[in-house]
Amino acid sequence: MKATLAVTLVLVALRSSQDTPAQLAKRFKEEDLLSTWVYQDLSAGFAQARRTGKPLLIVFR
Amino acid sequence: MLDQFVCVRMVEIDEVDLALFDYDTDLSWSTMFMNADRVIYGRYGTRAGPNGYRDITLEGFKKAIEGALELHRAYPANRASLLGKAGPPPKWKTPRAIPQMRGKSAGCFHCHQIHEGEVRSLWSGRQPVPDSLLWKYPPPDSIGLAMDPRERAAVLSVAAASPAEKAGFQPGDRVLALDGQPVISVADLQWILFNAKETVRIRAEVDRGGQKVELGLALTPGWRRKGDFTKARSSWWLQLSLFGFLCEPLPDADRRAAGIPDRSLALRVGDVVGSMKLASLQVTQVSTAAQRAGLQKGDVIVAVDGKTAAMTPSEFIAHLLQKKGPGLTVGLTVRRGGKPQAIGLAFDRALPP
Repeated sequence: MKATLAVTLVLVALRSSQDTPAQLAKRFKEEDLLSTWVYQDLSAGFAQARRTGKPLLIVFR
Repeated sequence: MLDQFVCVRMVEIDEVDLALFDYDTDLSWSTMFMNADRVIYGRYGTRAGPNGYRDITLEGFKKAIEGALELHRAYPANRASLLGKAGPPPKWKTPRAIPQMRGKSAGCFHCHQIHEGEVRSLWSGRQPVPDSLLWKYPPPDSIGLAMDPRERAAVLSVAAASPAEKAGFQPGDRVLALDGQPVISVADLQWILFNAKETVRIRAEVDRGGQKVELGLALTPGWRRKGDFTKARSSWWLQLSLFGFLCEPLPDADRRAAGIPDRSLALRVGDVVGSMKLASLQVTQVSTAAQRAGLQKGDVIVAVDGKTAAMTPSEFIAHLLQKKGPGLTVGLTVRRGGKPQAIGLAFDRALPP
């Protein structure tokens, strides 16, 4: 679900004028841009960042 | 690379802390990078021109992500250089606190409504609407830089006689830092320009062929006005809801045919709306100032309050917002069918909350 959301999100938001959706999805897979997402919960995001030591990437869309 | 982040998607922004989440809300997609200490690493997402989607690319986004990871690995040693990426305390803490937004139902806010609400709230409250708010997030071309959307912040070209040219920027320069802040995207440049004073000298650090070069960017009064904010979604709604019409520069060929000199005002009226219900803001207006005044599509505005000097659409809208408030009238002279006609644009005394 979250991986699908990630793909959908990035596909819709970063549609390159040169790439078809299929080409874009292939590039995402090859370039390992998929991950899991926290949905509409900043508190959970910051808590996870504190726990894991990872930075946050917050998309407003 | 995304697995090195905690990725969060926000679709409803009613209660976000605007002191922390300060980004170009006119974009339909925007990203902020930060850490658990709420220290911001950078922003990604820009619209340098009317076709905004040319300005964001997968390549550029990936490079911004790499930049954010570099900054994270260097944290907290680089903390001091990152503090400028958060702005001063905002006038309103959350979108819902903005007066013109209070009537909206929860969950219905669109990002572009934040800026629209800010301007409407100030204008309807007869408070100053500064250039820094109207020309929000100035694109790099405001200072003469065209940037490569596939890179973090690489210069494609430099406009002649621009502040950037005078500072010594060259095509191919990669901007590493501006005003002491590390830059990982064009959005970061826009953030720094957004917060820059009207008159200021900003230090820039660029990579030029592998060598670090320091430049001094001098900004002088009026530099923001080189940009065009009328294409932003919030501006479109503002123009229609507050004034009832859009306008654009009269094309050169039409200007010559009409005998209007280059340095004279010539803005052609586009769509004129009559009654309109702004469902997004739950505002219903019986009629607009433009409709009441009899302004028509195709009219060419050649004077505003007696001023005939050329103005861009942005400067024209700024004049209306900064010089005229609710209940006041602005005097326009328009050409209709080749003949001059006086139009008095009377603004409503108060906007519905």
